[in-house]
Amino acid sequence: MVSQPQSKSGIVKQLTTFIESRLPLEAMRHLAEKKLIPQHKHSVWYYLGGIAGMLIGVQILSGILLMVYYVPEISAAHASILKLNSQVNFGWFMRSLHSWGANLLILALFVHLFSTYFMKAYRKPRELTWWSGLILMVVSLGFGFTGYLLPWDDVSFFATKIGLDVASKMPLLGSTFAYMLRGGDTISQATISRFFVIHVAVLPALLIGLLGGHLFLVQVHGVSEPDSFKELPPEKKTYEKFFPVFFLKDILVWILALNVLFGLTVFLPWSLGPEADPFAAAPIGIKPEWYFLAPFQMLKLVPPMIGPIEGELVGIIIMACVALGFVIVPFFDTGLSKTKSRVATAFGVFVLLSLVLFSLWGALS
Amino acid sequence: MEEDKTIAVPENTEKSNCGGANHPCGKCPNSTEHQSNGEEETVDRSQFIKTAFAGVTACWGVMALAPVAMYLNPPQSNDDDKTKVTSLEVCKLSELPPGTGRNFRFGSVPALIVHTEDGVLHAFKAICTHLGCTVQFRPDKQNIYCACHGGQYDAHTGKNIAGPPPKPLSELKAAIVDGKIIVSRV
Repeated sequence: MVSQPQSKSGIVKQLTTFIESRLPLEAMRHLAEKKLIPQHKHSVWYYLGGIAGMLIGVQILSGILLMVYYVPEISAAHASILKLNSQVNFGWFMRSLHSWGANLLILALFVHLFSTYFMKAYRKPRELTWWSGLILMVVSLGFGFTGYLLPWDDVSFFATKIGLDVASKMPLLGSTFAYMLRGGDTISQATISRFFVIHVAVLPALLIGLLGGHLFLVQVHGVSEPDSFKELPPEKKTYEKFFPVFFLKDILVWILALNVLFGLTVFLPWSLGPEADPFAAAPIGIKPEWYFLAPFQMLKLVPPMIGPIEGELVGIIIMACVALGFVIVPFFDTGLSKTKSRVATAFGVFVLLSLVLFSLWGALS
Repeated sequence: MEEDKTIAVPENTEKSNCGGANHPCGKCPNSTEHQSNGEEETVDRSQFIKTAFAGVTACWGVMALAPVAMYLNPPQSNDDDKTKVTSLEVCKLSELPPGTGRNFRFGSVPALIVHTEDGVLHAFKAICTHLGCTVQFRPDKQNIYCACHGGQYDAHTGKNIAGPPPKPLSELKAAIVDGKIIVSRV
């Protein structure tokens, strides 16, 4: 080894001793050494959680930067985005980064959700991880929904209007919930203010709390192993160390993901439509963002009335049942019954295919 | 660096067991440390990778932080000389009797017009030379006063006469045209 100059290692040593005598670094290092990642043909999916986490970091940083110039006031919001795009150095970049980042994050989260589902990582002892993950998915979609309104262009206005109208159709509390979110009967300054607070304060607080818990649980339980791996004899099970091997591979995958994100940001910058006009007609062909296309398309298909019940309500109930299926799957598929395991997989395939098909249908119509 | 330039082989190693550089067993010292040619300095491969990694990380760090720093730098407002205010009408002369003063806006700076008791008009930029507060005319003192720290200026000349201000007020030109007070840049 090439020897280090004496003074450098002296300072490093002093610093290390200072910290070690005040924090349980040795215990942490010991735990970190023990972290292992199973290696099997489905190991590639283990990267998804990290990619989602990295994209969350990008969203937080770019979001904070955008807040320096964005003005959440009805007559200034759209203009502030125009100013950001044209006069602020790299303003166009930060804005496109945030918009593309949001889309890639939600895509990564869908892949992460379905890959953990199909690998049956919801089984004991990881039910809490699974449920916190489901809530995190809802939180992330909430981020997407509230953030989308803020530029206050025609598409964002109408997308929010439609979304809130759908929310108001939920039984019992729907109309109250929509009224409180909207801050009144129509979308106005009150809506912008409420959506802004939810987007930059309420949801981030929930996110940090839930994500912290989610990651803590992953450390406690370790990475889940699929049945095919678990059933192998011990000598056939290969693991690799998290530090430094998997960690460095993780960083590499993050860099690749960032490259994709930066490429999209630079070559396909996000556009801004004309300023919202609440009294104008809805633009022809208005559609929500891709991650809301499936429920949007499904609700378009239900007839106005099914028997005595309003069609949209039936649609919402069907979607709620699907969501409920995801919530109760740890109780249903505990790993003791191969039949139930297959039923759970089939349900997942059915939901995934429906989502993809409805989304494509919505995109093409 | 090592004085002994020959490759040292521990006594217990059997040559037939040695797999060469491709199968290091830890028994032979790293051959790059021992050079037959003493003038060539080599770098250990792992040290090179570590240095390269740190170097690239530092470069990327700078590449990421530079745009953020530029982004946070407020965009300069386009203060064209053509759009800067050069003169404006403040009010009618009759609205400013002798012994009174009035604050007004001159483009992007606060300004002050004073009609002193000798009948002369004086105009200044109303920015206190101490720490920038907006000054005002005090009819009771018949001079210009800064409320922030008690600085005072002569109403005729704008010269700093009391308190912390280090310099006189910046002057503007005042004129009467058609019974109206017009203030312009000096």
